[in-house]
Amino acid sequence: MNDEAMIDLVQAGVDGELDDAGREALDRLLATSEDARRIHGELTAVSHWLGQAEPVEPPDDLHARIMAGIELPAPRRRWLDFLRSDAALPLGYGLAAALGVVVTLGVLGQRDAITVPGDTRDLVGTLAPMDQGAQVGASRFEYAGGQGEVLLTRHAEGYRLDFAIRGEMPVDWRLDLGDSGLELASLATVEGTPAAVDWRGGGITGGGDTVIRFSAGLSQAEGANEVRINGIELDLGRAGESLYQGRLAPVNR
Amino acid sequence: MARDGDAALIRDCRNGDRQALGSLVRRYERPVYNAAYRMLGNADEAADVAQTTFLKAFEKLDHYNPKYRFFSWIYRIAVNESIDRINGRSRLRELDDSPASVDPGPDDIEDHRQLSRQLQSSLNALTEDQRAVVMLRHFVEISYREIGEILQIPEKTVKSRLFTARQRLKDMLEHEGVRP
Repeated sequence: MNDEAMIDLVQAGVDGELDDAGREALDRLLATSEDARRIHGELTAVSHWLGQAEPVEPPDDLHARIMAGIELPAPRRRWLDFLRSDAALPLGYGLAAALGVVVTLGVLGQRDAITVPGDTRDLVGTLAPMDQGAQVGASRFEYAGGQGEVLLTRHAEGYRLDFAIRGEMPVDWRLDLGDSGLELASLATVEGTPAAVDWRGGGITGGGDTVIRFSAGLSQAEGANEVRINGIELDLGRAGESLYQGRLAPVNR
Repeated sequence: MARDGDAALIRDCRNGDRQALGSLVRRYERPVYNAAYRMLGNADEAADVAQTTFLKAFEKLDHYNPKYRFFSWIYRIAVNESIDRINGRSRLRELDDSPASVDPGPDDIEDHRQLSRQLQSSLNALTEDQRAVVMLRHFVEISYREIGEILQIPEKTVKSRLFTARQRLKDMLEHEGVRP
């Protein structure tokens, strides 16, 4: 065995790259060669020394920094998915519900820190104009490193829900229409991208964004006798830990 | 090294799914940061390189060939970015004439972490090529074949580079009076 072959065998042994036959060959080599034993000792020592390095912790904001810089291709339109899906709701019903929702400008609460969508020029999606509505539900909340609000307005043609959260770190979130008696009819996003929309179940989920703003057109579900504002639920979490859980509160005017 | 499910996450990212993006970033941000830190020896620069690595990876996602493993691709970007950063640093040093320092970070609080600093110092004294193989072998803990795949060099070159790097580290340790 020449020097190069000897070094390869010894080094592969130190690095755990040998199969059974290779390990037997190494054992025989170490038993007979002083040079092999010396090199084996040196490589093992260096490996051991490198193994004592302290692990380095990335900065807390690394994930947010990375996420903030990345643009993904525009998401597929969810309503197209819906149209293609085998959803039990008839296509005509979905379209009729979407057409029945109209959007009004300027019905939003006046808050400086964050604002829900107030200008349809920002919207990506399709919400038709609505008449002047009345705010019937609201939830303004704070969580570790962020804040948000959810507003619900009632219009002649249906309901509009505006959702906004803004934080220093990305959060996982879920908005659930639950037993509110409302169902999703249309959706338009302003900032951030919901990861999934469950049209039939009335759930919208997302994660990975520090800012998310969207508006949804809602209609009273067929068969629902009433609309329960506090049936709309919101969950926020990060890395499996709950940050906020709450329900929309009715607004009496 | 988490690799299962990468293909599904990448497919979802290509469809604009930011949740999938978040999962993929979480899976690799720590190892990529660690790799960059071992290449650069500086926490701030390592964070910058980690950020740039993901940015470039997702900018070029359409060019990613799923035949290859995602981790190989992203480590290759991280190593190249680190080497670019080192080269840029060398050019600055020529102008500035001040030696690059090893960022002690939080390590300098405890005495027993002296070893880590000494180790990083020794790594910094290797050539970039040698440092890359040592980093991938000892801190990412991947095989010769995978190292070759990432650095796009033959396995034989990985072995010889690794051996030379370790001999240099041994000499530096002996010179410093460190007993491994």
